[in-house]
Amino acid sequence: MIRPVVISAAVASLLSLAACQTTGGSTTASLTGGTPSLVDPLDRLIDKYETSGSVYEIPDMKAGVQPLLTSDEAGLWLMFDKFEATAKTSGQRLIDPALHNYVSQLVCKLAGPYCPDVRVYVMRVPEFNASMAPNGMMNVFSGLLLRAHNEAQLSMVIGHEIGHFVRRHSIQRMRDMSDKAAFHTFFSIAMGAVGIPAMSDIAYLGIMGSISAFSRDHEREADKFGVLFMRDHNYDITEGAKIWENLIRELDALGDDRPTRSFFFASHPPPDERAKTLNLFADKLQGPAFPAKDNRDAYRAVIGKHRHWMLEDEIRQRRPKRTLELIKILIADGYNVGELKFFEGEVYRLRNDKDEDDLNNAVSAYHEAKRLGGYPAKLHRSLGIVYRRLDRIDDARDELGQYLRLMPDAPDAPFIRQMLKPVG
Amino acid sequence: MTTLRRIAAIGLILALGACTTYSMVEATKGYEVGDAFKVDTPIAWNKARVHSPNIELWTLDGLLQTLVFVTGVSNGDTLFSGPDEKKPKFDEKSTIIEAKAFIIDSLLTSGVLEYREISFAPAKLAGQDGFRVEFKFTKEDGMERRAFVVGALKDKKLYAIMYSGAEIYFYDRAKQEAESVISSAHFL
Amino acid sequence: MRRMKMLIVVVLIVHMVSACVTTSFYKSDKLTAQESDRTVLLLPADVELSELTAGGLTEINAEWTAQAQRHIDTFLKKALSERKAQLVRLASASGDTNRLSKQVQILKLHGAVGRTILTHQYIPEMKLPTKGDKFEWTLGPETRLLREKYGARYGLFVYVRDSYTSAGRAVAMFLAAALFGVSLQGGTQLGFASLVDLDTGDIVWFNRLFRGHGDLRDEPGAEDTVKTLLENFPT
Repeated sequence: MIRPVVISAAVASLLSLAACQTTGGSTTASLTGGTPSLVDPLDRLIDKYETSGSVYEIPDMKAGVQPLLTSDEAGLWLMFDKFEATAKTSGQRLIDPALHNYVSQLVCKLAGPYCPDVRVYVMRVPEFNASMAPNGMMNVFSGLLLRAHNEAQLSMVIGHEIGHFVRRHSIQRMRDMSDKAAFHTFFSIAMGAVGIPAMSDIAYLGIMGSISAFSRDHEREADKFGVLFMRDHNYDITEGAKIWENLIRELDALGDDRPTRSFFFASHPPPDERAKTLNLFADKLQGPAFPAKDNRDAYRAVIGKHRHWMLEDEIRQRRPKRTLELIKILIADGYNVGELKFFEGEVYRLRNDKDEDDLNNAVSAYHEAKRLGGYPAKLHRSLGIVYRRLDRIDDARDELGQYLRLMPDAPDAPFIRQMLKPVG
Repeated sequence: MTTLRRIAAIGLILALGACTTYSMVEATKGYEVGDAFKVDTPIAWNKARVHSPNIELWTLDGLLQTLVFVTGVSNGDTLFSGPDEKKPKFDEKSTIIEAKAFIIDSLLTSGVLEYREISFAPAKLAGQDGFRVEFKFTKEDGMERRAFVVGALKDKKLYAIMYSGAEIYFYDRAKQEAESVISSAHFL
Repeated sequence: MRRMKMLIVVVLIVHMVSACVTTSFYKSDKLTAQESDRTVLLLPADVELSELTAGGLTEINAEWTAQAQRHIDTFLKKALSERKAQLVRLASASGDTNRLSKQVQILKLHGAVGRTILTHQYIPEMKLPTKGDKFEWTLGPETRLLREKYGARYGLFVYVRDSYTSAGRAVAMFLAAALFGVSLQGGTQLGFASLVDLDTGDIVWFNRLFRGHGDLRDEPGAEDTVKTLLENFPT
């Protein structure tokens, strides 16, 4: 249990590479060029969202087509086929049938003719992300399901991932990276020859920059697919903008701890740019005549059942400022606020920062949850423990007693009874 | 990619060389673990040199099964020492329920997935009132594992001994011996 | 994927630590030469061939990999029949995707034990003192499930990663060597094979392969690799 920590640090650097290939995405087939991209009409609507051009060099993939075995693309597929075989029985994969069916049916609906080519795996990872591999393997993280408020928001992200697939971004990116890295090798040898070894680092940074800039264009293009699919299925595009606005709020809440250099922001357009553009699309595409929906009830019916453990996973990340902001955003959305207030109390209880008066913050949040209902019985245990710390012994006894009445057979009941015996 | 791999490999060698070669713990009585316990062991174990002052790790088959001694976590410490800001920190005012939650949360932020509790009940560690929790879990590789932890609070510090192993074969292989080590434990 | 990368890292370490050995093997004394049942369950060989591009990136080549898989298959069959063993195949690995199924778990355990052996048996610094100089590794008797399901006495697991130098990379290597006397890494072949007694779960034979040459893309090269990998295979 110790060494793995050390190993994982070393392996992490390798993984980040795998991850960056996963975030790009796409596929296939014989390169019969010339067909206009699906997103061309959107470009005519908003030319401001123009890309650097290279993005359009490869034609869309065709539904149901696999790459030729002799192509570099087939190699890329093979790698991800193996990865997918591992993902199927990975410890992170969620196999709850209702959750899986809901997400994969949504993917199928959005993907349309590409539906048979895409396979979805819902992974228990408490981060805002989804990824698309070139061979059609899509990963949806539980942290995204927690943050999306409705089907429209989730559709924006899923449509975006399908866009990577349709536009075969992975193979474009891989070809681009191979060329640039090859150039770098020669460049560093040449520089070494004239005695300026430091120069090669600068070249390397430049190459890294252009690689991430290149993929940022991919992200922009994929965003258009998100919009396109939302429009085709009458989803409210402004919801797509909201998911980015909410992410900005979460990250801003970190204050000085906001990640300055992260892979995510190097390779993605800034969230505020995305939100702005999506709102622009919404203005152009949506109007009074366009009955946009968000299907929030269908979403809550499925995800709501899983939100408890998703919030537990989030709290375990130990980033209280961000988690509190997330909870605030979810409270504004209004679904089962009692549950959210309980978790707000848990964040305060676990942070226990005396300068912030967290124990009393926790008490208020728990009380609000009690008033609203919809909270778990263990709220009484948490509140009892907080009262003990505040030396409010009688209140503590009441709450712990209430917990025992509700959960007489809980595994920790013997410990609670022990606590109740001698005062304090 | 190759360059990074090479760097990672070299880093790993340095890391391994620096902190984890194995030495023998013979079958013996009264073996001292850290500054915390005195234990008897009916069989010989391999003890890993680890870079964590309040941890001692024994094994028979590498990481296929491990017996980990937590020899005193103080207020504000993480379970496995390390610079990670995101890991839970121990609070000396913890109740036993909170101490158990601290251990499980620490494991869940160190690669443990799919935690499924089998039992949680009062138990003694080295004569001190505490708890015993048994559970199944997996890691990213999806291989099933089993574990139990016996823990207790003493003088505002958390002490524990955990045993875990691959569910097929390796957990059972040394479980009895691990139990025997744990039941022989005394505080120093 | 993470496991594959991990393995590569481990094998690289093995290489660095133990200078430049090509293969080395272990045979358990539990293997009796007189065993009459010679049916061997061939677990899907995990093979991947990739190309080192000029910049040092590795790209998996699907065509080479498919060729290599075919070649390895052919020559494993040939090599094993020369040793009078009968081959049985595992039902398509993709079929069983239930993480908790016994078969999936046994295969996962086999992978974990294989990595443990590479670490603790081949790296001197990582030796486990209680093991002494013995080779004593087992998956435990639950492997009988495979024995009963497939009617095989042994299970053979083969893992190979092979990389080749592309033309661009070769030029860079040459330049680096000529101008600065530095050597850039060329292609390498690494892998291991293990034979499990499915009745007891004991790993009765284990062989590691690591070398700077070898080619699985054509028949003679593949035959040579299989030969090297099965060198000292129990008869």
